[in-house]
Amino acid sequence: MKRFVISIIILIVIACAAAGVNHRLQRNVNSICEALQTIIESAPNAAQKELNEQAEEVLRIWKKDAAFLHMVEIHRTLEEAEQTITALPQLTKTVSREELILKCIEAAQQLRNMNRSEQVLSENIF
Amino acid sequence: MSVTAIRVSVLYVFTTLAVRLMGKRQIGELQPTELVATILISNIAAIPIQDNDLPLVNTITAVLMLVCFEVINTVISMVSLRYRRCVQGSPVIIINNGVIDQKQMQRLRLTVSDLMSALRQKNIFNIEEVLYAVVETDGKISVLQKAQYRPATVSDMMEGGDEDSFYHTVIVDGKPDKEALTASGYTLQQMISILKNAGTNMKNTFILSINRKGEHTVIRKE
Repeated sequence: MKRFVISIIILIVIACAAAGVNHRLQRNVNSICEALQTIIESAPNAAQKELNEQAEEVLRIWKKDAAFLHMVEIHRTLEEAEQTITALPQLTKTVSREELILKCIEAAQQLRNMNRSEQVLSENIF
Repeated sequence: MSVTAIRVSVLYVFTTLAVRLMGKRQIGELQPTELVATILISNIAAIPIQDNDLPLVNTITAVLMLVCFEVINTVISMVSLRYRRCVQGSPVIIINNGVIDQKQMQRLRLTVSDLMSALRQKNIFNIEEVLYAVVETDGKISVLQKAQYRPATVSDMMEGGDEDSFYHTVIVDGKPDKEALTASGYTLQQMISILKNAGTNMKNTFILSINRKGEHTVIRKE
């Protein structure tokens, strides 16, 4: 009976942890996507310095959450987005604004797709 | 992680049902749920070893969940006879007094070759020698030989050979096992009367097993 109770407790803990992980993942992805969206919106008219600061901000948010994301996500689904985000400060200086916007849209989309694949939806379960 | 947890739950139930549908002969030596847990755990644990891209937390969650399901299954099986029947099935008598129950053989999809092979492994080469053969829930075949073919024991030497020493466990954990009761040839009222004579009642009985001669063993609950 002791093992039965322990098993039930473990399953409840797993369910709570899973819900917590999902919530945190969604929050992290949203904050990175919002920061990327800022670059996407301001890139056509923003000054170079402002753009650099925004890129640094995205990188800061990413670094804060990267360990957690790697712990709960399949690494290869993160790789492309990670490459773009970690290179953003350099990209703002080396590529055209159009290309920068495109890269940011791609990275945000990859993160959203990854987030969507972790949502409790019938298409993800079956 | 939520998706992993739900997928593990769905797969566990689905694979258990699949193994139950496959029948006893596919099981080997494990109970259906044990087999499912073993198959799934070995596969789940192997994948992240081969693929470093997969987060270990998902594997640990899945394995932990399977172990918990298995423990919960075992405990519920101990408490509920109906649940145990549903998940593990029940033993089936396929030879009764030297006669093969062909219907049960077909139901279990057990061939005569399978049966003869199992008997030969127990040094029995003639079906007529068999008093009872039972296919257990784990797929093994248990055989009781007729008294004249069994090696003599000290008890046989002292008391003479006992033909029907097959005991049916008719009460388990305070609850009557209707199938075993039918097979034993006794009624529930007779069992209640036996327990009364033994100074106990159904609720306080852990096991009551009885053979056709009425010889019985009562083990009380602690």
